Amino acid sequence: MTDNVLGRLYERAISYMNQQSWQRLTAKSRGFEQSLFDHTRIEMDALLQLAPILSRPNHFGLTEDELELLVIALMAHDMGKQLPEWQDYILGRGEALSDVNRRLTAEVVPTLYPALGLEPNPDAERVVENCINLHMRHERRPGNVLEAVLGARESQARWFSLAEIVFHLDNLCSIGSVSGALAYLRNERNIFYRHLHSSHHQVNVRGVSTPMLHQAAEDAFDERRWVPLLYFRGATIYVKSAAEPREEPAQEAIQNRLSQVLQENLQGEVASLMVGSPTADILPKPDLFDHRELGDYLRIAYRKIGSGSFAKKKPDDRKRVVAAYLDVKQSELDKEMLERETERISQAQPEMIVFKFFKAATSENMIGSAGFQRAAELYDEVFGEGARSNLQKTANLMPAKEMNLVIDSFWKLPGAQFDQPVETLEELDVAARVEILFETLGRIAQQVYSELEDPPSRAALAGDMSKSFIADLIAPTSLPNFTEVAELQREYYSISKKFAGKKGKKARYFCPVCNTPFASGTQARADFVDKPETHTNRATAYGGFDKVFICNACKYERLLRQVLLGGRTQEVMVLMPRMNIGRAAGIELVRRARNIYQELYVVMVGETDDPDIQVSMSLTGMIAGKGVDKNVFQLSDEELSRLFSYRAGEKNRRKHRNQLSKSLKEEFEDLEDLNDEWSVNFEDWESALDAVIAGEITEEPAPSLRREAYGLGSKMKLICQTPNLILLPLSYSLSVGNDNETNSALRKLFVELMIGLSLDCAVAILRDSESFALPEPQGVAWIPPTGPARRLVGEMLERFERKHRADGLRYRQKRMNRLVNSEWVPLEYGEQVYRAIGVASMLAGDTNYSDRSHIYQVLSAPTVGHVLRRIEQESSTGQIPFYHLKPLKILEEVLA
Amino acid sequence: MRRLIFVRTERTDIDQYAEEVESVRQAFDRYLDNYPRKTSRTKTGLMGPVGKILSEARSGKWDAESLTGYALNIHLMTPKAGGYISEEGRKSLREGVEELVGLLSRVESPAVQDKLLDRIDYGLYATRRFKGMEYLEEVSRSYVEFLKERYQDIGDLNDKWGLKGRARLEDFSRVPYPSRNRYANKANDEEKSAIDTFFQSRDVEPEEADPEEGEEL
Repeated sequence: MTDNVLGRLYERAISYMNQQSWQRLTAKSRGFEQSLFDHTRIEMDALLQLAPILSRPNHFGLTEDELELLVIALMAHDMGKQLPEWQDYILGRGEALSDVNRRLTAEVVPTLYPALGLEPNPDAERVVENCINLHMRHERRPGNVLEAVLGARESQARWFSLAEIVFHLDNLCSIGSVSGALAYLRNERNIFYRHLHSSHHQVNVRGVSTPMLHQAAEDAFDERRWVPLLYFRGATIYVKSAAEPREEPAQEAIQNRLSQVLQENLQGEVASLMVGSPTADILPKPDLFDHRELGDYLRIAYRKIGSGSFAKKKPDDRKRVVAAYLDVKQSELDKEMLERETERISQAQPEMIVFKFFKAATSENMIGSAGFQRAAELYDEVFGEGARSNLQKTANLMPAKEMNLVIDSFWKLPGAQFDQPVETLEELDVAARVEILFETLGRIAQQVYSELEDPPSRAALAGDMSKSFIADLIAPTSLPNFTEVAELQREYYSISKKFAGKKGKKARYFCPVCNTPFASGTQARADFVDKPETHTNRATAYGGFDKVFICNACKYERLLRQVLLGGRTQEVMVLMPRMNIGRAAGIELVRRARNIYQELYVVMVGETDDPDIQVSMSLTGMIAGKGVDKNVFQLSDEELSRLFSYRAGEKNRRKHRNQLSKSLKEEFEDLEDLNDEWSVNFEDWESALDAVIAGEITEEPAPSLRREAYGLGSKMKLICQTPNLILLPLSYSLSVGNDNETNSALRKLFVELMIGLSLDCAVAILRDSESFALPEPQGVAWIPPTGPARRLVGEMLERFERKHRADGLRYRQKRMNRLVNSEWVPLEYGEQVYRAIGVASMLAGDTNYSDRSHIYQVLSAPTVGHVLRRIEQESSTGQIPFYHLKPLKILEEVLA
Repeated sequence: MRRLIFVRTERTDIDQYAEEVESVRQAFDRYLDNYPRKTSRTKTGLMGPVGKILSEARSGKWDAESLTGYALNIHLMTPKAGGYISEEGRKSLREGVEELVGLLSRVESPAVQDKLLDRIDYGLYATRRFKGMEYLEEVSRSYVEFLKERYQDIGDLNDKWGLKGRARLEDFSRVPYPSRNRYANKANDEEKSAIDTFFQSRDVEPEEADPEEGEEL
């Protein structure tokens, strides 16, 4: 059987499972949770991965028919779990029940072949029945086995070998831990032991670097012909034929590959991050500096301050600066002189920032003392003897000082030196002079960089990062000496308290983010850690405290997030398997995540003809209004991305258009100028504006003006390498207006549920500074750790559970307690909680509850009548609009 | 040092009374089906004598018999009732009051009593309001079907109703509710005739509907 035939059968089996709505049913619920769909698919995926090995003659030599039979048997092996009474049992509401129902097996198996588009095959069906009926250890009683032997004796198939494969695959895929699954594969008594080598890679989950580490490890295993079998959030299990040499990749190989993966991902647009505040740190992220991009940085530095900002200052302030610049008394300044010098200083200020950035980019810290000396020589050659020394004397933005020490020496340079027909550069028009400045400073810097053995670049950064991140690799790696590790931790812990928040040569720290002991780290900036100057219990209560120190790996992790997103990350959405996931399902998950992101990306960056269409995950009322009626389990990628898109309101649309119109008119003197520049022939400004809005003009500055006016740009970035862990850092917080933490937590939970249920995975949304050390997913969506939100959802789950009790089934207090205190929304109630928060979001805006907590208030109202009255009280007519009837009816089910 | 004072707060599980609350609500709902209300615009109008029953029950001064009599008196004094109450109405009223008084007598805490009354009050209010809205929705649907048969297409309707410019309807789902306000202030003769014929065909009086509700349908 070719892969394609097996693949097609697999696809039909998936479609069959979809029709049976197995996503809604629970298959595993002890310590972790899996839907019946998920569980069954993982086993079929595992078979698909093993098929090429097991088909070899030196292993099982499985034939095409046998593989076909195995797919069907695996698909149907847990069909007993779809019975309501079994669902009650697994959810702790009913008596224990076997998931093997022989009567059901006998009824359903004959229908499977036609349902999957295959010819009926009674012999094979009998073997399939045996595989299903004997897939549980407790069902392998003598009577049952004898019955199976007698039933299958007419069949030519090796029914027992096939039943064994089903039995062991089911056991293997049902193990909730990596170590457990590995131990199973390596158990001599199990059939796979003789046929398969097994190995794994395992990582410590840190953040956006983790998917890259997973990718690097998988690539390294792939090079050694290992096949990924099962993916876990922090690990992947690989297998290969036991007939082949067992060669595991070395840690160095993974680190090298990681460096390459990081380098590929560090190519993002970081120029805007490089130039900091002119009044504070002009080069805040030296680690991200790449000498090849200096030109871009200088241009951004030039735009950091407007050429009219000094002129807007109060006359007294200007007078003080001008007097200091000219070294005269303020009383000696006449009005004409003041205005003239104000104009000069205003024009010079953006150039001061350029010099300031150049100074930082060629500082000793960046290029070493030899490089610094060389840069000073070259600088003096152009700007005159002692010019670099003068540049070094400038610090914070002090216009008078900088005019004297830096700008004048530049402006007084003869025009002839730069082939300009002016006596001095000051006489040139601003644009031409600035171009000369960019070119001159760029040339000096590039000359110095070219002479350096290791000029500052992000290629070097990728190497440094990989050295830090490889520490997260737990396997394959040589085991550490645990006694030494514990001793080191103890030692650092005992002395780190007095060093926290202080810099010292002999300092020893404990990273506040990842709890790693370290001696050399980084003082955290506000964009690395929330409020780094806040006192912590890890420091002494007395003495100075500056900012907390973090380890290099945590610093690089945050830098990486900023590079990927082009700015500070506010929140990170984490998608992961609920327990484990197979290869084919994993590829499908990755494909869907990429598809959805691509759809959203096109809208976010305005690659559409209507830039007023934007993306938001925060507007849960709008999202629910469009999507709450749809089957969340069946949402397509396109539908899902469309739910997150919206068209700006009329007021905002007008505002965007006016802004763009203003920018266009500022950029071009008149319409003729615009037509000449773009080689077009617009008759009026409005038609030019329409064309720019529709994205028909691709020549700059049209796209950048459009981008600026409409606030276009990627506000999230997909980090999707392998199915283990998919991350989506967001540059905005999932909240609206005055939302308090509880409202915001409920919005996050809604988005998590929508994505988790439609992609069949677990989802959590974390704040940037929150630890990724989440507990193993025990449901579909992680409830953000906000007290009132957790309590509300717990009470909601309790109510749903009570309704089941009303059905007359035995009720277990233990399960109720577990639900109430759960950190995860279980799959069973995922859709109900999703709909509840959705309709509450739809209604909340129309009630007279405070907009800080209205979603929470709606969901915690005693009855739907309370919410209804709140809407009526807010309505101008005193009546409730008809479109609220449906959401209110849904809410009634939740609150009742 | 003063001796420590320990306080143990207990939380009453209101949900344990859910079935009884629901039963009271259903009895009053059945009663209100038989109550000829004056208006549905206000909560007081919609709840009729039940609003009074609930506020009086809160005082704890009434027994079931006397509270039923009190409510019955309000009912009979309502102009539209004309001094009459149906048997079903009478029965439901008695059941509702008896169950309510019984429930409150089993609950000691006034705070819990208040919460239960609150749930009955607002729960019943939502039920009644939903019934009204569903009725209006049903009328609106029937009206659209009726108009589809009466006119060739939406253009025909627009022309005959004299709708011009932005007032012209895009499709039948946009047809305004046949409210009294529409009839009196906005409809032309043809539209009035359509409304008359529609309600005659249904053999019922036009339900009192808020004009804005109708517009939003």
